[in-house]
Formats: sequence, structure tokens, C-alpha cells
Amino acid sequence: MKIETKKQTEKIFMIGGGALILLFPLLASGLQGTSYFLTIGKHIFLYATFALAWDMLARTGQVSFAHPAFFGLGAYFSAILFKKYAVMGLIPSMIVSLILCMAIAFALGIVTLRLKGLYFAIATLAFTLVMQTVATQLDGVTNGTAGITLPVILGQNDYAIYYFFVIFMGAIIFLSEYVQRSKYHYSFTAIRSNEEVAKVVGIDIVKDKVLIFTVSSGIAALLGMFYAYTSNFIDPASTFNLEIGTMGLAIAVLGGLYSTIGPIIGGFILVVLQEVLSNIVDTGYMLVYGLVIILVILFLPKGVVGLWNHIAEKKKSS
Amino acid sequence: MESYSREKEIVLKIDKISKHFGGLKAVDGISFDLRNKEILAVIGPNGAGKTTTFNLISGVLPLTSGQIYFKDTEITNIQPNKRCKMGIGRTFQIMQLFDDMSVLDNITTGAIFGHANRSLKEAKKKAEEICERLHLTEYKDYDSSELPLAHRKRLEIARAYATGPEILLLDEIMEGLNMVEAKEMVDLIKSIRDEGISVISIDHVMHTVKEMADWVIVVNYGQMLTQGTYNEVVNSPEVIEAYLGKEEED
Ligand SMILES: Nc1ncnc2c1ncn2[C@@H]1O[C@H](COP(=O)(O)OP(=O)(O)OP(=O)(O)O)[C@@H](O)[C@H]1O
Ligand SMILES: [Mg+2]
Repeated sequence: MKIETKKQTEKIFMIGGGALILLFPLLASGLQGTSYFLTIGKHIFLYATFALAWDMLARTGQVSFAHPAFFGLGAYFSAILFKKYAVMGLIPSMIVSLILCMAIAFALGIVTLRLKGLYFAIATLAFTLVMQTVATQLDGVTNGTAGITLPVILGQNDYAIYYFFVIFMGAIIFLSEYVQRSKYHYSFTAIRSNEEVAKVVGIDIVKDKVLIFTVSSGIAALLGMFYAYTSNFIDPASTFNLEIGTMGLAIAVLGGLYSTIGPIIGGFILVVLQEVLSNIVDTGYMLVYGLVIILVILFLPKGVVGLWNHIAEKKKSS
Repeated sequence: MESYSREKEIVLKIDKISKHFGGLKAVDGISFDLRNKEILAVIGPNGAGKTTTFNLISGVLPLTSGQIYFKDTEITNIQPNKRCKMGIGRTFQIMQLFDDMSVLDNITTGAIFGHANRSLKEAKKKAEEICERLHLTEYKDYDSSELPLAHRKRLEIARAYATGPEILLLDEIMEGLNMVEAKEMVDLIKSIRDEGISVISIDHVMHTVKEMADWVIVVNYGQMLTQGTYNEVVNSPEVIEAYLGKEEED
């Protein structure tokens, strides 16, 4: 019963949402402010994908604050190689950056392996703060706070950028669903539930934890690169940005943790909410935004998707 | 039972193992072995070191000293997940089910990663079979935390059994069961033994020990007091003194 309702919910959201996302630019084209809406769309997909990557890691119980660091490292490694020193082309610089970021994530994953819960969160938070400081201080290489100006890819075309982010989100949705339907779903859930027992039923928790930490951080790095080359400019504050990290976490919690659909819906709601609030209440909108998140955590522990399932379940049984 | 012969292959050899917690010698130089297709009962008063012994065999805790051999391989320093893959499955006295999973998924997890090394599809099929056999089918979509006690105990066994073990370690699975449930459990464990799995069962309930154990070892203060068949053990003077005062309460 429960499982069926969940599956139905996912189907409804996936098909309905997917159609809307794909058709939106066509419907909106010619209207005033299309470009504004397309940019919001890009932000939704960027944040939703970020939150989904974060959630995939959270499925093993690892609450990471290192994702902003990899977002920033991804952007900077590529920008430095491609723009600052111009030692390689755009695509090669992105590939090298991804490899570097995943190697660093692999090492960090091993170092933080034994840390749990709060201790893991704090260690990864420290990593982000250290990386941000390094990016700021190492100004010979990074230009420090002055940042790096970058070309915008895809001919600066808002439609192309919109669809580019849609495609990338689609790929990560696909990856997430693959995980959910594979052995990894069982090992991740078991590790989150009880590491000791997970070992005793034969799960190689070291391998699985480090693997998903590396992959999830790699996605954050790619997003950092995509952000960089669609924003014209990067500096340490905008890339090694803890707000992105907390937003990713808030999105996953709001939408519903440990699912594919949760972070996607959460991303849509939070980005739109932030946009609307910042237009209505000039100052202090972050306060209202924070309040909304707190209320959700208190009253909707299973997120929006959980609430929807609950309502669907009730309707069925009545 | 009196004529039980232990002339069988040794599947697990415990050689003078100890575990000290600070000054406390929880396990203090125990040696015994487990024979193929045997039900070995471990009895002993509270705090005797029974669960700690299981933690050492399954690799949850490192040893202070001693060696453990699984068939011909020394496993003293092998990781717990590898021991499971080799064929050692266990349950927990304080039940440790995966709370974020359904009953069926708990069993499936054992079936995927354990000794049997199944594909996801095979594991799911196996889990359904085990569910059926352990009378959990009706509850298979429930969260494991929603189950009544006797069912939770069965789920602990189901998950361990799903790993496809050659040795199954059961920690106080009879505790809290009524007569009917205990009888069912005894039959289940005997049938598991008859499939060729060797079982070590820590058990406080003397009548179930009597019914199912091929061999009994008695521990106290981290040391082995005596071993033998049920009748030999219950008639030994050390045991009467150390332990069987409790039987009247049971
Ligand atoms: N992780 C630990 N740290 C410190 N002391 C421990 C630990 N585990 C067990 N002990 C102690 O070791 C002794 C043996 O405990 P153990 O759980 O092995 O006993 P037991 O025979 O299983 O008892 P029971 O019948 O109550 O289950 C006890 O005194 C216990 O308090
Ligand atoms: Mg015990």
C-alpha cells in the first residue's frame, strides 16, 4: 500500500513536472521577461541537482558541508587552467578539474570515514572554510577577492543554458534512480541505519561510503563549473559559498530526504520562494526564509513529498 | 541425546580468546569448538561474557588475545563484513534491525551482501521465501520498528539466515517468547541445522536448551566452566552451584 502510493506520487511528479520543465520555455517565449524566468529556471535546476547530489550522499548518513568546497574547487581549477593560465581548452580543463576534485574528495572521504553525525558535519564544514580561505589568500593564482572573469558558454543563449541545466539534472536524476533500484540502495540505507550491523551482514561500508562521497562531490564540482561558465564571473565568496551548502540541505529536507523526487521538488519550491520573498520583503527576507525552513523541519519531517504521500494514503483509505 | 558423537569436522575453533574492558575481563581465555551441523548452546549467568564472545567471533570487537579459526582459516583480524562473506551470520541480543527499511528489505539486505553473494533479483526472491518460511509475509511491507517482539526476533534471524551462513550465531532469541512461540523457534532452528548450518545459540531458557542443543558449554566470569551434553552439564556440580539455582525461576 504505502510503497505503491510512493511510486504513484513519483510518477505523477516526474511526468507532470518533466512536461512542464521541457515546454515552459516554448510557452513563455515572446512574453515579457522570458529571460528572467529562464534564469530562475536555471537556478532551480542548479540547486535541485546540487541538493540531489547532496541527498545521494546523505542516504549513507553522511551530512556533508564540503559540497560548497567542491563547487568552488571545480569552478576554480577549470577557470585557472582554461582562463588564467590558458594552458588548455575549456572541455579539457573541465575534465582535469573533475578528476582533481574527485581525487581530493576520495582522500577527504577516507580521512573523515570514522567520523559520524555532527563530527563529520563539522569536519566537512571546516574543509569548506579552509578552501575558501585558500582561494582568497592565494591571489597570485586565483586573483583573490578580485575574482576571475569568464566567457559565457552556449553563446550566452538563455534558452540553451536553460536546457543545458535541464539535461544535466536529467542525468543526475537518472543516476539517482539507478542507485535507488540497485544494491546500493540497500547498502546505503543499512549504513545510515546502523553501521555496525551493516558490516555484520556483509556490507563493505568503507568502499560504499567513500564511493558515494567521491561521486556526490564530483557532481558538486561539475555544477560549480557550469555555474562559472554561465555566470561570467567567479570569486571565492560566490563559489566557496556556504549558503549554497545550507540551501542544498534545506532543499532536500523540505522536499523529502532520501528520494530522487524530494530534492527536485524542494529545489523548485525554495528557489521560487526565495525569489518571491526577496521581491516582497526588501530586507530580512532571509529571516522569513529561515523561518519557513524551521517550520518545515518541525512539522513536516518527511518533507513535501511525505505530506503528499500522507494525503494520498488518507484519500485512498477513506 | 546422551549418545551424541562429536566426531565431526570442526567448523569454528576458538583458541584461548580474551577481551578485557579496562580492568574487566569480560572474556578470559575461553576455548571451545563448534562441529559441523551441530547446535551448540552457550549458557551462563548475566554478565558471563556470552555476548562479548559473539562480538569477538563476528568481528564487531577486536580481541585482547587469542585466535579464532573458521574451518582452516584464521579470522582473528579479519573485518566483520568479510567474516560474513566467509559464512558467519549473527543476530543481536538487543535487536538491531534496520529501522529505515521494511521487513522485506531488511531480509533482502542480508541476502544481497552475505556469503551467498546473490544478484539483487535473486536476493529479492530469496527474501520472499525466507519471509514465508519465518511467517513474516503478512508483515513484509511494515517498518521493522512496527513489529511485535516475537516477530522482531524472527526478523533478526531472517536477516542473518538470509546471508547464507555456514555458521549462525543466535543471541538469546528465546527470551520473552511464550511456550508456543518458543516451540516454533526450536523447530525452526533444528530445521536450519538439518540444512547443514552449524548453530551457536546463547540461551537462558533451559527447556529450549534441553530440546535442541547437541552440545552445551557453560561460561561464568568470562571462563568456561564445563561442557558436555545437556544431561552431563546439568548434573555437573560446578554448574549446579553457579547457574542452575536460576532454573526454578524459569
Ligand atoms: N563494550 C563494552 N564496554 C565495557 N564493558 C562491556 C562491554 N560489553 C560488555 N561489557 C561488560 O562485559 C561483561 C560481559 O558482558 P556480556 O554482554 O558479554 O555478558 P552476557 O553473558 O552476554 O550477559 P547477559 O546474559 O546479560 O546478556 C559485563 O560485565 C558487561 O558489562
Ligand atoms: Mg548477552
